[in-house]
Amino acid sequence: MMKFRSFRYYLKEAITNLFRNGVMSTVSVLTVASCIFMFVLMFSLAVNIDFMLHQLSNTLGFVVVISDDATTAEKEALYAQIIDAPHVSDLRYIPADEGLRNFMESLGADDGLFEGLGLHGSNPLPHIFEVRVGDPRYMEMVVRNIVAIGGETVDEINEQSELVNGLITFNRGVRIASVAVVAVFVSISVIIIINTIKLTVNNRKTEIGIMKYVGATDWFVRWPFIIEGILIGIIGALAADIIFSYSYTAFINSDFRFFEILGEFAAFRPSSEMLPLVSIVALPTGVAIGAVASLLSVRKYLKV
Amino acid sequence: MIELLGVTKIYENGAKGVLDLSLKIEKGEFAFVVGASGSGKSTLIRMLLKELDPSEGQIFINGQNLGELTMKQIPYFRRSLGVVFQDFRLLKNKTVYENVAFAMQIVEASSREIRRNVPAVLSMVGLQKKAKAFPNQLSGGEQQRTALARAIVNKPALLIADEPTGNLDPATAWEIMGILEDINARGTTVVVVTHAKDIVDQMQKRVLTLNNGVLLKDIDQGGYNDEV
Repeated sequence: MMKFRSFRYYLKEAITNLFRNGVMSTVSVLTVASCIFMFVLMFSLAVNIDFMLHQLSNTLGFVVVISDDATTAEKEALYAQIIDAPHVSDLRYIPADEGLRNFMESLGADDGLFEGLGLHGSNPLPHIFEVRVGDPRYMEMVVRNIVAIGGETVDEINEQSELVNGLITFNRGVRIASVAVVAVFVSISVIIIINTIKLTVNNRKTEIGIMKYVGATDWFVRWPFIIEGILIGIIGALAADIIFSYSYTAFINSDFRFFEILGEFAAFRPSSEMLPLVSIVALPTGVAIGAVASLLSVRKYLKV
Repeated sequence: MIELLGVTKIYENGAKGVLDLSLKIEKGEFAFVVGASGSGKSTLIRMLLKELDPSEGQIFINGQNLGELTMKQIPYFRRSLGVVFQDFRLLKNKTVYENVAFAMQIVEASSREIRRNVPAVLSMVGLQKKAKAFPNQLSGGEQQRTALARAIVNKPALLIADEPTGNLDPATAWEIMGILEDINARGTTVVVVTHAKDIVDQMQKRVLTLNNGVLLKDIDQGGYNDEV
């Protein structure tokens, strides 16, 4: 267990080293900051696509057209089966009359339109079920399930899942790209921090030798370097976090035409929710990058 | 205190360090180790510090068989020794006070102990007024006195000095030897590796002479070239 007075010594040493190698430390902090910025950018993209998919799942569903020949009992039985089916979040039965009323309301028309079309007294619309799916990824599965259980009672199913499927595919792509981008940037950060710490370690090779002769344990030698790496990681992560916070808030509040179109069916995750989430991800990433890099760089100098 | 039993060190490149070396230095002794370059002095010191392991034989310090020490135990073993080098090996970015305090920080001494012991030991080596100076502001003798203060601040039972006067003028060299004698008088065993013939001749302490890795002479109270 590290004693507090030892920790105070390690911290003081680490801070002194940071300032002593000012240029290299600044380069390291900037590298970590840009890497973590890229990382949180990809992260926020993935989070937002997820967020939009969930919103879409509340607005997008599909319609099950019920056969005109279906009896009330058959409709009730199908209703009970669909509502119990996995991943179905909402189910509404819309009789033909109600469907027609809704349709006319949406057109702003009155009975006169239908009379004009010679449809007076008849209703061309079928009875339908409106199905909502909790997670859009299961949309196709639910459709297949209803086709299977519906049998003759179901005439057809009108899917509207192209957009959802497109987004799901896009999100999968973003995730894969995120992993690749993050791997590249984390490696770059680690290499640059390793070089910074190596510079410190090289400058202090004699000092490390002296420390070992006087009886310093390996961990006594390591800790200041590890803390130095962690400090670089934390400062870099904070910088990335601050830049991201400003950029994201500005982006969300901007009045791009794109947002107006997008706003019809989905919104970005608000800053108040996104920023804490990004901080939670960015800081540990910075700490981990710094600690790993300094551990790697100090390893070979301990054999005295 | 120190006991070597049939110690041989052959380096990987085939170079001979020491050959079948057996010797014993008792607690409280003051001993010089002398010999020409390549006689095995440095090999001996490096083995005593557990920086090198012998190819054959055993080394005991304070009853501890160095061959049985694990990697983790080495730092703790080294804390029982004080070491002084020809090139002082001070931390350049630390003041005299901090250099000495550093040895205590390593053993996790409390701030109170550090505040009490460091000034005492600096005053013992006559550096109380230089506590705030950095090594580059000191003369060679002052730097070596700082190194001595660092070596003894944790009260080691054994002090090993490797050419402690090698970089110093004769007057300063005598000052350092005076301090080493003083440290020895307080009960610390002192082993000094040196080329300084004058000093060895005048101090009339035990002299161990190495030649081509072999213990050529071991004289209780003698000079650099004395015969057995």
